[in-house]
Amino acid sequence: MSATASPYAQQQKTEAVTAHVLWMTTGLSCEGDSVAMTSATNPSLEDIILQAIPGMPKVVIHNQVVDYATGQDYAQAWFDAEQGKLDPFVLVIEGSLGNEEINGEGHWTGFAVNPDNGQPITINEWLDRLATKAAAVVAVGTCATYGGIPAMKNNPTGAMGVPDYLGWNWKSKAGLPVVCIPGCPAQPDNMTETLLYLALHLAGLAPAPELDEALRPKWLFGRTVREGCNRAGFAEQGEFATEYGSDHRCLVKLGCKGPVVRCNVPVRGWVNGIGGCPNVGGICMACTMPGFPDKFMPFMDEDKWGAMAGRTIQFSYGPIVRFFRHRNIATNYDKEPDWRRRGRTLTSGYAKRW
Amino acid sequence: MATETPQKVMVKEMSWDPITRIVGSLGIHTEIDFSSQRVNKAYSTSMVFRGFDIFMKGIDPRDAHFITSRICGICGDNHCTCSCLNQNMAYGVKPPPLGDLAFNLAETADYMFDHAIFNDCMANVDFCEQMVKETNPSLLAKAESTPAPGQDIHGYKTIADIMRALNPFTGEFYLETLHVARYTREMYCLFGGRHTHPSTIMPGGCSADITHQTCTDYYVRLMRYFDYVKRSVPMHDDLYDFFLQELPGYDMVGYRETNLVNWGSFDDPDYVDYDYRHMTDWGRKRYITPGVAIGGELISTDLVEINLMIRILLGSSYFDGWEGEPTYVTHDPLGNPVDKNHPWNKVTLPRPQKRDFTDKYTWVVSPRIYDKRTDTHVCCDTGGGPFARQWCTAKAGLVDFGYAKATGHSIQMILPRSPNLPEMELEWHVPEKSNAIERDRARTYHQAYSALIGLHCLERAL
Repeated sequence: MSATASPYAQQQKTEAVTAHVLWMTTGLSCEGDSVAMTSATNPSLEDIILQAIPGMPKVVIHNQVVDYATGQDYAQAWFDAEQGKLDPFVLVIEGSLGNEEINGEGHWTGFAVNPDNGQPITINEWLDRLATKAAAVVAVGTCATYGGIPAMKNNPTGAMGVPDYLGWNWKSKAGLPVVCIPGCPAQPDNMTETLLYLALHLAGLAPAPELDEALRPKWLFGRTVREGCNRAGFAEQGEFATEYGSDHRCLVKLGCKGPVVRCNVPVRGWVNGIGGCPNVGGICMACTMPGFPDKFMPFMDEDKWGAMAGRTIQFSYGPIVRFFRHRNIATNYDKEPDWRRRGRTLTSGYAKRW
Repeated sequence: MATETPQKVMVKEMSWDPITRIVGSLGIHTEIDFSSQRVNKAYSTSMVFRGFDIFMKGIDPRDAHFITSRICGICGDNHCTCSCLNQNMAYGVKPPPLGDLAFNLAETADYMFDHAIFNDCMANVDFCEQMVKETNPSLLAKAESTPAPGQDIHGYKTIADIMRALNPFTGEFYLETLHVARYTREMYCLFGGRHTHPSTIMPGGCSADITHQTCTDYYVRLMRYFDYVKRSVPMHDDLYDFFLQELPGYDMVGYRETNLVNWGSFDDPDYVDYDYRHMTDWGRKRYITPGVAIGGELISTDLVEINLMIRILLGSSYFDGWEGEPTYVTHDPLGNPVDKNHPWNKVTLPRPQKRDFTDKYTWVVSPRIYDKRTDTHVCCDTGGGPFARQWCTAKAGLVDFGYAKATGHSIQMILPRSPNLPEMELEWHVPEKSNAIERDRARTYHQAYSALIGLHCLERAL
């Protein structure tokens, strides 16, 4: 085959495009999403940077946790983006946004120095400067998506999520709503995978990520924790753990909020398939949810609706289902068929022809 | 802004804001005198405030570790663990031995991860080929012709080969460390569920499903890590020794007086009873010895005393003092007086305002260690640093668990045979100075030390 007729011509075209990711870790955040992102494997950070997927644009990730440059050398990309010198770019926000209208001349969180007055530039101001110019705005982690921990009741900063600030119906110049990847932190692969699809979408190689009413990618957040949990079978049989520890029964009575939480961690695991929450023994604290944390506290107390559902199962069909399953296992399925034995006759049922 | 003083001295204001390759929204602003090569003034600023101790007030105490974890995205699990240890003490709960060991196994994995990724994917980018080429090309030329003494072990023939291996996203050792930082986090998740905000670390123990499989999965990765760290330590020694040798005065880069505080890590389940009244004793049984050092002298290994020495001062931060607020604790359970500026009595009163380097310029307060001998508040490097942990452990000479031994001036370690490399002895000596290089070096040795504690605890857990 000649070089001019490469079957990868289309991909090569988009591979030549450079797209920037301006990843702001400086919301009211712990930078846990960036740190988690370094543990992603599907795809990994290097997969993205080294263009492991065909057709993927060359992605330059500007992220404070890993960047080579420092100080103004590092911050310059933000000023360049504001002046239209970086196009296209995706703006990633990590951390919630404080209410900067209530603190006078102060700031709750800032990034880089305003050359006009020497003051930090608030993350809110950066959003005002850059959101209209970005191909997409992505909120990673529950702080950026819905407010999260810093937005708990009685917080002093008036913290909120990116859609609370920009508006839930906001659209980027490429027509995309704020893309929300919740989780505290967000599951590593959920972040890198969504970024990959956004890059492929902006390159014209993939459809826009389909989002639900809370702006979450549907393929990641379509199921509840219970619907993906390896303990769901115990719940179905009315079997609930009564103490923390090595017990594989359903954790709902210990405070697990899994039945009402949209999250794929029990299916995807945490790092490279290892770990997670109820799937490995930890109660689900609902960290992906818009109502997190307040609506799920105290975390270690049983939810009243969960308790009611649990009792309904426990005192109705659950024990019956369990009894017959275990009886069938013990009396039937744990035993081999009776033809497997030594002897002078063939007992398998085959009518021998020799 | 550059100014010429009458003596034609060049004094320049320089800023690095934000600082990268670190967690925490930080900036440094300085005034540097280039003629005498001195930094005249330096201000460090943090630009983020969330108010944990405000919004946590009044919540169910059992929620504490779930919330405090979110303080930090790289060491959140340490905050979670500390909160659980505190809750154990508050409720008078002693977890089963496997619970204590599970905490240790999770945390040793975290140390193996954290110090690897911080050293080689963040800090040591400062020593990579790309950086040295840009900032000091003649040094790179020298490195090209300098053979690496440890090449038989780590495989890099020259110092420049080591520098190349540390180039971000292309260097072999940088990429290997990213990979190592993943499987060590898998090890963490085996006991902690998730990293960095765990799901199974609880007051009273660890709720993870711990079976033979958990230990097997941990074992296999741990032994692979020994292979990594056996190459990592001599490689870093070669690199750091080269900088100290070739750049006279480099030992003054990041030099600070040896003022340290650390709370120790990794309790021995045979001794810890989570009772404050016995904390001095079980603190000294930790696999990393608690300690306070001032002016290069270890002045205490008593966890009760160390705790009572802590003060929170406001420094240049945007907070009001709490003199007029109620005092929560006047005496500890042993009857010792507790200071108004001790964290137990802290009230967080934010006062957002304009950043002003002549007055208030940061959201970070100034924790200090109060030295009653001299009535001074000493600024100490804290417990998160391997330098402080190893320094206090080595000097105290209390630790000896077979695979590692503190001698009073060093820590001797014997690493086990691992898939690709034979048994290896390492010894970390307490250095004369605390400077940037020695803190980095301590970090690489600490990875080996943490792995040995992991191995020891795993064998106990089996």
